[in-house]
Amino acid sequence: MDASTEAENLDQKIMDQMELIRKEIEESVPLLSHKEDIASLAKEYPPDDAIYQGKIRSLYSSYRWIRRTRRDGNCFYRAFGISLMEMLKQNPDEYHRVYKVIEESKDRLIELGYQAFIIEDFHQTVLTLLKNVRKDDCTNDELVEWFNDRDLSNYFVVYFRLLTSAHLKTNAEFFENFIDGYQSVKDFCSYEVEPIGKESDHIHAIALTGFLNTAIEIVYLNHTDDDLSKHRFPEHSAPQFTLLYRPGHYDVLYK
Amino acid sequence: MSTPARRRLMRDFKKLQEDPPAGVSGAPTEDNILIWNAVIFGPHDTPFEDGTFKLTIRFTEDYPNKPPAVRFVSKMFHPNVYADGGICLDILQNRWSPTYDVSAILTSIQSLLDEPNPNSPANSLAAQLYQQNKREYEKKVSAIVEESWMNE
Repeated sequence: MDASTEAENLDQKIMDQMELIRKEIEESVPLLSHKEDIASLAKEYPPDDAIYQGKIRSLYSSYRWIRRTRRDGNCFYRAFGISLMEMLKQNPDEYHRVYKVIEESKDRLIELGYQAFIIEDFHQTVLTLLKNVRKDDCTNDELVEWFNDRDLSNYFVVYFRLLTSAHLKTNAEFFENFIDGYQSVKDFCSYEVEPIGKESDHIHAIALTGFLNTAIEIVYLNHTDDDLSKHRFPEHSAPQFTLLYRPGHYDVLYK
Repeated sequence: MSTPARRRLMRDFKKLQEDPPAGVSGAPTEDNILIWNAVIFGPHDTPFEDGTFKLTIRFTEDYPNKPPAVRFVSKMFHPNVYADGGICLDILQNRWSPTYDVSAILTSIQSLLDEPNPNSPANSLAAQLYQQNKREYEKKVSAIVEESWMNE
């Protein structure tokens, strides 16, 4: 008997299984939550987990609210996205600056070899979002709603992944030193940045903030350090918004 | 009805017609733009040379956020192709990015023909022969190349 007839389409089975898990998560958690009291974090960890409970208490002194994101591998971009839009809504100068960066980014991507007809829809979606942000009657709830529309939200994620890639590729000489296990920055982007659902790390945050010339702070909540550690991107900048990082996941923090 | 997926597929098709990559072709079926037929010609100087391999590509309304399901219709003998024609290729699974279009998908599968990845075998016999008995492997491939000319 031909061995190939015995081979089962395992990939398909794994994909189906993952799709099932994805659907379960989808039904239970929105892509972006409304603001919740920061105290809700404490309930996620055992009361006797001294490290986490201690660190969460020290969060209370600086932050009041948390906005949660779905754990679908795109959380960094959605957390970044809603925070960026909320900030731009308050800050007309930054709004005009960032709008221009985004508007012109399409040409930069084309220069880097991306095909115009492919990036067009993603670019347009982000520009439309930005135009909505400037409208006087645009509320934060509407922005949250926008980011919970799966199609729009995913197009946003795709485009911001491309911007992250663009910054890495444009500064390849520098980033080559930080891409363990990959031959080139181009490879790194095609495996670790551009695929939908790939989780983000330090290097992604450096690249995206670098492209947009924005400043953010990420607060790290983990078991490894004694105190809450905070990192600013770029270093020594005045952060325009704050994200909370727990291993493998990003949410948004508000004062 | 025009949806983002359908608009994008129309553009993929336009691109494929205006700038056709060597050795692959594809087009939507007449009554459903979400289902495409495609042909990959076996690359020169490979055991697959002269083969004309038919495939189907099934998209969903989630395209391009989700990859399409691509399957060989013609019989295939290859380490990364399942008995049912399903293809084990990272860009169609966990490495999918909406920046891939139909043209990129087909040329990637074409490259896969001569650059199999024996570490993730979908056809264990093909993987084994590819690594241990190239002559027998090429004989089996020749057989499916000839078979691909039937049912033209």
